[in-house]
Amino acid sequence: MPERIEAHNIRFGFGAFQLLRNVSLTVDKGEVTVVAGRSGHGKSILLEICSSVRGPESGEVLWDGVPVYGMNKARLNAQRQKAGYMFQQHGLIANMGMFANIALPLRYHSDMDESDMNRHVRSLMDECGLYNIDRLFPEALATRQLRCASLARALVMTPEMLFLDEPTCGLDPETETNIVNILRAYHERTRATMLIASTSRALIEGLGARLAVLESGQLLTGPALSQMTENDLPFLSHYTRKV
Amino acid sequence: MISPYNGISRLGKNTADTWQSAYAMIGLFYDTVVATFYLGKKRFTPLLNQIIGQLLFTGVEAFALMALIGLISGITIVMQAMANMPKIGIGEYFGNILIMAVVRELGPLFTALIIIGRSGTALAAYIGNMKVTREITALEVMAIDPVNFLVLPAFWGIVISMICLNVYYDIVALVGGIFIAHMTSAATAIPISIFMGKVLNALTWFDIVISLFKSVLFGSVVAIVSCYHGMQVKTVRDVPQACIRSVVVSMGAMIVADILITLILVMLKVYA
Repeated sequence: MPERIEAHNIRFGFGAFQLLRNVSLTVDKGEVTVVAGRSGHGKSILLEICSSVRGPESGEVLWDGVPVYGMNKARLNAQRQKAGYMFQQHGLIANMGMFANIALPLRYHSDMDESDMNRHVRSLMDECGLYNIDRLFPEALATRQLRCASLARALVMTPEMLFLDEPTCGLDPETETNIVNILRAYHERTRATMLIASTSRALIEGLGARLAVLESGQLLTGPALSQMTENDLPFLSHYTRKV
Repeated sequence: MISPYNGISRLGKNTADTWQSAYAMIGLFYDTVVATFYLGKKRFTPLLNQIIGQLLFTGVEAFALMALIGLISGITIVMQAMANMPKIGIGEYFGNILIMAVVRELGPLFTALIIIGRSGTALAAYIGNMKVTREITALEVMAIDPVNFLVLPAFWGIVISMICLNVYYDIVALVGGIFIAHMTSAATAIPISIFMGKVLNALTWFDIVISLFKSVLFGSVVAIVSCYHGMQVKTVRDVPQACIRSVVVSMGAMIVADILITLILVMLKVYA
């Protein structure tokens, strides 16, 4: 079953500058939530805290009710195998070809035999539009291919939770639509819980996602966000729909 | 004005930091060795290519440089020994001196210096850059332990390369050294087989074991120190610092270890 993600009273800053001030967020099982907001307001940091990449200064993150930052290494690694993470800067291993990069989590964790693994990775690469790049290293690829490869690697273990950091940022509209379609198809198939940091309107509308806006260290969701007007929060003028 | 308090405070902080680093490096060594035994076949297979890659870079690609260093140092030592030992009446110990100098001491030392210069810095920079580009974070979120994935292949690649290069250095330095020194010196009237016989007669299993033990120890030191300093990188500005620290700390640790081994063996009267 997909996991529920909760973050309670998260505080995080750099020295005296507080980026996140008592931020709380809940993503129910099977729900898609997009955290939007202006650049530099902490979307990626919040995503990293919720996905076990970076611990908060204070506060708690729970996956299905279990505190993530209290788990021992073995338990955390077992839980992480249920999660997929797509980095804004791709995070692909520089000295491995693209096929090996995408297949890496499977090779390391699954009991699939080589032919099944090849078939699974190949179909995922085809779905993401990655052709004839098996042996190429990341430095030889364009941004579009890097982003798609990073998404393919995040999906390769069929995770129950997906954390995506700006999955469509800087891409052409066609690739953006393609990524939205891949994510929608994946969500319809698995009902995975997704937490996405993005400002893409196409992504929010395409996935029918719940919107949360991070502004000045505060997270606005639900009724608090609904009551906001574009005068209160000019950032909202970029969205036709708010929840 | 320099305050004595500041000096003492800084000395105390540096000492505490040094101990903390040493403790962390011992922990990394322990984790690497333990991971080797608990890795299992399934997880070892993806690492095999990385171990082979490390062997090629550290071992095979260093063969030419190692041959050059071995030959130069071998010729120098052999020529000095051939020219001077008979003059002071210890010509009969020609083989023993060569084995002591080349196999026991210089072989592991020169090999380790070459590996520190070539591979230790490269490894620290490689891991440091992986930290900067968040590849190590990516491994962690994929539940792949960076110790298993990065440190373990580098460790075994360097240790195995160190052993092979040490043996290679010894052979090149002794055989090449004797051959070339014989061809170019006044001692050409004496057959080369006599020199080689003296060296082989002086060589014992103990010399080979000591040399190999030092290879394993120095290789472990270089690999762990380089990986540790690479892992400490936070920003791209830290990468050159990590390379410098890996060289300085590796050399320091290796020299201390070498002195300790020699002292222990002398105290145990093994070298008597």
